[in-house]
Amino acid sequence: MTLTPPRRWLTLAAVALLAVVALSFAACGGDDDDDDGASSDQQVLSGIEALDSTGLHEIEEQTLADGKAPGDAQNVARQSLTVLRLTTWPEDLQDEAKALEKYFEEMDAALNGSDDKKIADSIGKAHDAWHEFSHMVWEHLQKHANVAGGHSDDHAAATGTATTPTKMAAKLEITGAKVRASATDVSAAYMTIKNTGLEDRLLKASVDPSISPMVQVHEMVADGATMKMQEVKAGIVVPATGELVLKPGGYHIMLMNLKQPLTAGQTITLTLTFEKAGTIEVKAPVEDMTSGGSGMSGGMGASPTATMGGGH
Amino acid sequence: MTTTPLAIHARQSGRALTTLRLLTAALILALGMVVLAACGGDDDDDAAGDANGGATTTSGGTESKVMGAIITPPLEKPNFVLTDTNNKPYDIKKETEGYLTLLYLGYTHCPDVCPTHMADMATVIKKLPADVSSKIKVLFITTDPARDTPEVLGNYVHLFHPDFIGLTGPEDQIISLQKTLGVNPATKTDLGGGNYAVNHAAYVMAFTAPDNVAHTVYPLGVTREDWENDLKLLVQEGWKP
Repeated sequence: MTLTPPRRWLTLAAVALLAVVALSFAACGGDDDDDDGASSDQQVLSGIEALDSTGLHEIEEQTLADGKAPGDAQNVARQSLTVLRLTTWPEDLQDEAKALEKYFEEMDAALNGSDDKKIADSIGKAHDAWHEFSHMVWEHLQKHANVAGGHSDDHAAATGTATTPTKMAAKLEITGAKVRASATDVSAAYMTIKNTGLEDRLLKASVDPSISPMVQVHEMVADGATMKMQEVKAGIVVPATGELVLKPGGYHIMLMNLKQPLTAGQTITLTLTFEKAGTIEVKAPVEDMTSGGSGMSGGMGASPTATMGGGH
Repeated sequence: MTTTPLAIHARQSGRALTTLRLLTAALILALGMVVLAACGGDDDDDAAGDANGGATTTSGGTESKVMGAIITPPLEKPNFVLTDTNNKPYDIKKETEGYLTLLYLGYTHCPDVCPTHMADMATVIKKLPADVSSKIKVLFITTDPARDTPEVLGNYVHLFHPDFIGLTGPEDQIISLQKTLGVNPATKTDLGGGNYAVNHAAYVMAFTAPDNVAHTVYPLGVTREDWENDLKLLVQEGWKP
């Protein structure tokens, strides 16, 4: 797909048209069908067409080739943001649209600076996220149009012919995992969970029951001068393109009824369950945190650690 | 429910304020509630003397800078006889006379806050020169006497430092001690499977010598550098308002 100047004009026209369409929709108020009526499909169709033709793919390729973003990259980021914000996306894709917005905001922000690596990185992420999003939107539309199979957008088509909508996965990386050497028959595990994808949720954790049959995700809450420890039954949010830090005084994973003491030098495997990313296994070394080890001022990320598993 | 009105004042020095920004935010909130709750106090007798909770003890020209959170009015060292890890009576006032006394209420099945405090204190004390560290006593008083027998307590505190002192006592005595110290008596949260969390006041109180009064407390988040600064200062100079 090569992008010629007239095509760029069309894109701009499409964006402008879309803006008008979106505005008129807004003006008409509650007339919209609440169940994805034809008009809504049409809006989504215009939106995804506009989004697919901003030229992001070429921008990404050029950036990869030159190690530098071309001059119109920022325009593309802003056009994409415009389309994303003016389109009313189907309800089940709105979270994804918001996440994609965030990627374009980051790309826009990076392009305001002069850090080429950061710029390239932000373009790469926005590009990947756009492909996933586009794929999901086309799937949605195909379902409404009673069309089976995949659509034919560049390489997104190659990623599959899924007829069930695939959620954009959270992309998690876990570092600094460690477990306190036990002083009694309880212990706590800490780590940093970095997310470069969509919002996810840490639901629960477990270890081999021969180590601890009872593992819970806990939070510490100040109640007056008192610190209360409680299980977080609803799970803890791992924010989109953000991180969740488990550290003393905040969140921890508590291991109870330890079958034998945990001593420094051991490594245990924690199995974490996330709402979207599924289960991830983390190897966490047991550290003597009674003295000399890392406490509050020692910092959490100091130790090497943690492998990261993936996927579903 | 609670007793002693407490208020906390950060010193007006820049560094202290920066370091204490978080601590004070937490503590003002925390102890502000204690102050409010204290209006219905049923045992005013152990309130530490001056009941004018507004009085500050900010520095008056001293060059030293205490990094802990300053409490007003200060806390009297509790006059209690508990049981130590050798199952012997331990008269707090008598045994700690002349020492900088760091008192912490906690429990050994505490996975997070207690070991963090204990590790911070142990690490800093091991680093201090002997003429300073020999003037400090650390008391870990359990808020979970049901599980924390003298033996369990001994194994626990000595993991951190061989000289740390673990203390327990009958439940009603522990409750009365907490009230004397101006904190809400600990409560329990069931965690299932016979496990429970003990919700307790989560700061260390530092009673200076020779006045036997705590002017500062140390919540979670105090850095080891600040601990070191304060322990040296409080041992060498006592409390100098």
